[in-house]
Amino acid sequence: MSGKAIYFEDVDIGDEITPLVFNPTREMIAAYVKACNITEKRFTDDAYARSLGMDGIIAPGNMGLAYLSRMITDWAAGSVLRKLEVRFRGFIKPGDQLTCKGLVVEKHARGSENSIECDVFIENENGDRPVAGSATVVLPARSLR
Amino acid sequence: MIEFDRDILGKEFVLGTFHVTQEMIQGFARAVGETDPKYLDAEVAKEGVTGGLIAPPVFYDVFRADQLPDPKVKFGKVAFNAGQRCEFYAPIRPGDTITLKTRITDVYEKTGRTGKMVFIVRQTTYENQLGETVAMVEQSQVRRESGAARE
Amino acid sequence: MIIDMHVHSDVSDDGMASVETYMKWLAKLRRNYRIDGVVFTEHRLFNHGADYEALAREYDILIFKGTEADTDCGHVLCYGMNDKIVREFDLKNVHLSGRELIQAMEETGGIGIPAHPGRRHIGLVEHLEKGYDIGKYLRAAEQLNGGSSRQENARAQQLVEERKLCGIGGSDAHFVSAVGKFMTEFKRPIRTMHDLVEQLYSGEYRPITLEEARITA
Repeated sequence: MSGKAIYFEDVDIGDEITPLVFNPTREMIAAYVKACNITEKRFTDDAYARSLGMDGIIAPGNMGLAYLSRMITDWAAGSVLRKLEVRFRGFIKPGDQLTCKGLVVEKHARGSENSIECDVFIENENGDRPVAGSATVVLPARSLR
Repeated sequence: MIEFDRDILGKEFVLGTFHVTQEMIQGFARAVGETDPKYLDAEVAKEGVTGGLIAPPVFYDVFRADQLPDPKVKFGKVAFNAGQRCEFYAPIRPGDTITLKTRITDVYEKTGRTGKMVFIVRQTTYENQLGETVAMVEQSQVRRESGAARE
Repeated sequence: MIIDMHVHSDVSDDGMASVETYMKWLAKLRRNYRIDGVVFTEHRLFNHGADYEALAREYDILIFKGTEADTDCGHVLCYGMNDKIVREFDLKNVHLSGRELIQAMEETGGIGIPAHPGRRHIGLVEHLEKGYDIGKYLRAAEQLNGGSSRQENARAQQLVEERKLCGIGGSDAHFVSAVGKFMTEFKRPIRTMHDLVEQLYSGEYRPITLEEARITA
């Protein structure tokens, strides 16, 4: 469900973004693969994935990005994602118990586009972060023109 | 020195042009569990700040090219997505026609826990029918000797 | 003085934030924790042209520049980078001789310190176990690294103890929110890179956690 509007003035460096649970199942991965017409077999064929050295199928990296993007818009209705940059340091596998998390680290007041920078992560139950990066999000201003 | 086809660096390739439908947008949004009506409900979205249905930012992933430029790096048995850097300038809407253009911008080497790695950086721009660039995605592919999990 | 000896800005290929963004975060962090400086040790390059003096003055913090080089015995943190080193060693080359780099750093008034020595492939311990000859210029190692697992840091500590080295601490932050996780506490004041290198030679320092830097009362 989308959250309430969050205004630029109300956000502080250090604020946490509402975490979003992401427990990918084989079905969810298959649905994403289908929606994106992905033909790469490492996301659908366990034997093929193992031939590449993985334990079995993995989730596409962009699926993690899509959940990070969703975490942000769920947290702040009316926000606009301007930049999203991540490094993939580990695989996301079906059955993983993950949480998307974020932290506000910077604010830029720039007239028409007030934005915040956030460190964003997808973390597993051990605290490891297979996906980690940074997002720049435009927030509406509370003050009326 | 990494051996690869250096002539390909910086050359622009047009990967294709794709038509965007409402169903494609809704399909992608549902596949990632979106509930925000701006991605799902055209009627509600029309009344909202976006003025109509828009695609979630990572929707660029639905555009598949048959062939991607290949710098033919002579290293590594497996390739993985090492990272992405995305910039979103304007939303994609139903009815848009999006053209993808891509360039290999860098090939470099580094070492990590899994040993030697070669990175191939590819930048793709997404342009709509008005010639506006709506997004840019820079993808970093890593080539390794094996598929070990942790970096 | 408490300094985070190992931080990456967006100048590194996998760094996420600008130096200024780190400064803003640190301004908040320093309300509760004692942090006097950071060293931006960028991957495989020395950011010669960057001048952080104005930022350092504005935020009243020390900002130093260093390098994290890829070598044949793992990554090496270089403090006191100079023209001679940059001329002699192609930092983009991931097959540099770690032994020669550490020797050259020392000979030119700097110091090379193996980063995260307990990690596979890019840590010194594994290479020493395979018979790598690090030479006689090794004086310190990164005992606590913020990006390493507990086992990897334990292996680093074992190296420091067995070889009677000095140990530094660094966050290895690639994101703003990771800065300060581990740092180095120096006994004496430091104002310049020259002072920092001198203190690294002195051995009068230890690796610490962020919690140990908490300001009490």
